Amino acid sequence: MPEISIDGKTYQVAAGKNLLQVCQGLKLQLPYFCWHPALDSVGSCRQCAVLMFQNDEDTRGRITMACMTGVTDGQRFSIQANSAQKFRQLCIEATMTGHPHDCPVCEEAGECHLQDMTLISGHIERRFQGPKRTHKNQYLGPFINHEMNRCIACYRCVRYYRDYSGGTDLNVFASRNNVFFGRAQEGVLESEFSGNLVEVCPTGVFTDRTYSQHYSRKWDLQSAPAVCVHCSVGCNIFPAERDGILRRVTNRYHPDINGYFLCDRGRFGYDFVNHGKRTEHAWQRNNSKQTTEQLNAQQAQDSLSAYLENTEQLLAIGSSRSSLENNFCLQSLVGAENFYSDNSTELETQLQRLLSHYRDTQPSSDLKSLETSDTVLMIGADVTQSAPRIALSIRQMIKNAGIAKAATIGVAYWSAAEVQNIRQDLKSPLHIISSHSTRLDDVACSIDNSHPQQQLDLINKICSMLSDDNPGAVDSRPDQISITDKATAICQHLLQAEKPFIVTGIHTGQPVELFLASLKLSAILYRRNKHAGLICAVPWVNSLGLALLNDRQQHFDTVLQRLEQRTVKTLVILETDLYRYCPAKKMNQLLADVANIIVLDHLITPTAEQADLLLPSASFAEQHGSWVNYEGRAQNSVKCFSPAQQRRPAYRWLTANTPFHSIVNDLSGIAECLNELPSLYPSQSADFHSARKTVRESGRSALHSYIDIKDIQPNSDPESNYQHSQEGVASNLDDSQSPAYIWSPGWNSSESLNQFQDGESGAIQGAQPGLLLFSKGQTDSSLVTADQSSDSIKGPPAESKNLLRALPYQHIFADEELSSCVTSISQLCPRDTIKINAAQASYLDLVSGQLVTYSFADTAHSLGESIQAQSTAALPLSIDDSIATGVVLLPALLLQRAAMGDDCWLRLAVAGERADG
Amino acid sequence: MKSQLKTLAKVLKHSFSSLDTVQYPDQQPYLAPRYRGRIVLTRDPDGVERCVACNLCATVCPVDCIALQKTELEDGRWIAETFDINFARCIMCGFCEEACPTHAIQLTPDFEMAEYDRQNLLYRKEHLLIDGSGKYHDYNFYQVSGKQIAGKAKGEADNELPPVDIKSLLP
Repeated sequence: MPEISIDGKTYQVAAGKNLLQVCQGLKLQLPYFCWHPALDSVGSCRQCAVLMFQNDEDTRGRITMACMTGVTDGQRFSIQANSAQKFRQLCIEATMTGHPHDCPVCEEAGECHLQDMTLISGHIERRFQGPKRTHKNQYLGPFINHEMNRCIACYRCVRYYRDYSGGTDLNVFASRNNVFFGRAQEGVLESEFSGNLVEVCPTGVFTDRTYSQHYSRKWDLQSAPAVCVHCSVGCNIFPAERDGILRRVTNRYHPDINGYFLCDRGRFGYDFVNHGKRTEHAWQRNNSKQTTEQLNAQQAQDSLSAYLENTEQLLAIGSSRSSLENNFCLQSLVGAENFYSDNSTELETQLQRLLSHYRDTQPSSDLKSLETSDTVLMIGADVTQSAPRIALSIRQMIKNAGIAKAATIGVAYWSAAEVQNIRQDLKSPLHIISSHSTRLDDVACSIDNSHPQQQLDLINKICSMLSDDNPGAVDSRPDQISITDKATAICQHLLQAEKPFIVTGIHTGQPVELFLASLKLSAILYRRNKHAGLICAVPWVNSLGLALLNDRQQHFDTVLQRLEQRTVKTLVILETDLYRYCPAKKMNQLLADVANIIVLDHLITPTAEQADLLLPSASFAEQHGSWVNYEGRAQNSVKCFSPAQQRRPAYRWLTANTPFHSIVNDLSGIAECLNELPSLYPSQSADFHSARKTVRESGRSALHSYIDIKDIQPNSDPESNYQHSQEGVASNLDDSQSPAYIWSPGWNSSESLNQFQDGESGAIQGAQPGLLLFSKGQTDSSLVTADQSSDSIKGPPAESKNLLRALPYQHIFADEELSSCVTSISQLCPRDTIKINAAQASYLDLVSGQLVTYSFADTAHSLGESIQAQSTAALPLSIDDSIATGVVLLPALLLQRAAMGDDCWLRLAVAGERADG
Repeated sequence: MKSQLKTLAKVLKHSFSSLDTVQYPDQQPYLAPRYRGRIVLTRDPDGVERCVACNLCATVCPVDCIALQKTELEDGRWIAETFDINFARCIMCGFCEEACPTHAIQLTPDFEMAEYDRQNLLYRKEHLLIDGSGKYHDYNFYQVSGKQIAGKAKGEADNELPPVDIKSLLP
């Protein structure tokens, strides 16, 4: 451990770091712009200048940039030295010459890194009287505002956008102090991670457009540590509210999950909480009078118990987008035998298989270990669309080969420009097995787009190559030879790697056999190499949590059967929209026969419109709750603000106000892996609580004066150690629990995170990392039984001509229920099309843009006929040559709605003609 | 003894001096323009609302009696959608006027604000907004700010260069 001296004090510091990282770890105040913990050092802003002394006799020292100086034993530095301070002050003065007089009308003001650094460096008066340079702005889409005048040319945005997130459409133009950061032409930013520009930009060039529409200064926001609900990764976020409106979402650092960055769906998908079609009151339908009556809370509660008195022919449907507690309360209320999940048979099977894989075969892996791995095989999942944060981690994995090469010639990983120069085109191998192109194709080392059957053959081949070192007789059939070649190449990389990772996913329409084969491959790999990991994206935020509760594996297909048999009299639906899993016409018919429909939801979904009793539940930001992410990590999300009107958490409706802690205690008893769940919810401390609001919150005695000029008492929260007011311990003073917001004296921007971290890049002090439910995976039972996977995918139902295998194409903004109702997100949804490759299209006599209809082949499902009658919608055809022959791609939601089951085969026909083969 | 007589003389002398008190409300005292009384929101020389809803007045207010919400006009200007001052709380300290970067919020020499109904002490934007520019006649924030609004393109504010031509290769 090197020992260095800074301003006369001696510190023991970690080797291999640069001085700026060390200073951050020691919480010393040293300004910086271009450095970012995830982007490393380029030394371009000259802001972290320090004085470095040659030896003990040296009294003059020389100016050096802390971010470009690696620490070695015995070095002596000074941050406070006059010459260093003067240098930093002059630098920032020069930077500020072109900065506009904009702060009052800038969204960044009040949390601006430039403001903070200007103050720290001591530059307080503008001496330059010359004119300011100006730039034209660009339209960059519904998420990001662009105001180029404010730019200080730190290059963070392009380094993040191009080097980190792999985007190509943002770049730097022009020269010297005229540099311009933007797109070659105006237009929507293409990257799925563009929202991070808001936090990466140290000033107000890129600001959050959705936040600006209901803007509030940072110090006026009420926040709490919460978990994102838009995919299964479970990124940590700070939702921020003022006056009953959720204003924005920002990143909450978690070293093992999201790190410093979120995806656009998570960052901008929050507006469903403020949606015009949210539920606010309890309503009851009165069928005899043909009216709908609004109930008060007590009437609603009584009405619910009246409906549930008769447990005969009762059926309840849990939700993959609702918390563990809500689902558990519903399950306990109606009894496990009446509780069903909203997953189809196939999804439920796959989720249960994944759970038992985590339990018995291989422990789960987090994104940090994925980022540090050196080979990835991605099978059958376009994770950029389904669980985007995983894709960002894969992009970091790609760079590891270059970092390793740089290390061999003595260049530290943090020297970003040098490492990039050494790396050139060198990439860590990423192999993709898919049926169509994915968003990670640009960094892949091999891409195999083929029919699911061929994919399965390839995976099985790799499995057999890995499991016995003697691959056996070489199959001489021509298609088998190419498969062998591909498998050999992939095998070599997997075997050479120190930390190989398999990335796959579970989603509707995916062949189950393919998923099981991926699990088998991962298990075999893990048996050979204990550092091997598995990342499996699951459909929705709490899919795994619901699967954990639903150990009887009662799935949605049974619900449909029971509805068809008319053996349901009372149906309770918790926060899920059945119309997403079944064609509307059919669902209407099925629900018409149910006497009592009770819906608890926070949005008026088509299902909620059918309710006889509608109870307004609370969104994630208005309730406490636990969520289980794709790796089986249970995380607690803290309520940010009190729900409006009659909204209240579903668990409170379902248990008639049982205290939250006793619900968690009951929940922890149902499975061994949940035993420690109550530790996520520390009991109330008698001392001061943490404040959700900042000490500088404004307008406290005027905000609600239009209702009553007398002060209105803030709501209390008896369920946690956080207060809905300024009273209590400010976030920067309490390191016993996760801060409610990130702010520290002198550090108003999100960069103040470094004041909260445990050392450099450590977790936020006091923050809970979550509970890994399957961390103790039993490593001895490595036996992979044969029945877990099969050699072939179910073929078409009968030998009929022109049948194509329907697979889903997912889209980051189209698929998820809650975010897709947000205006800014839905603007970016692609138009629904049917996609096939050109050869297939010409064989079927179809051309691009033509309206085609599709009809599903009659499968073993009893519902087959009614589906066939349904599937007459015409969609335009689009040609994509990356799609394998024999495969047709439908929008994921459409496939989920139209086709039940994973073996969906369909026939295409020109609209207007009858679709028969 | 001597000091007691002196005191008596001094007190008596006051009986013949002119009065400092005035017969308010029949007689109105003179109040300087800088007197800190009722708060108003002013307009810039073009007649447009000066307030850009930056929230600094609300932040600096020691009794937290100002609350506002920002919105944007079609032409790109920031503006207050709502602007409430609770005069039941206001202590007329004038911090808001000092903090205002656009000279929008100003205190006036009017102090006669008594009400029978407390609720009437809430002044909303329509009650606060006046038609003139108050004490500062010439200041026009958008003329010195870099933000583009309709009628003032990039490079047209005071002391600004024309927008950079990013395709130019000239040094």
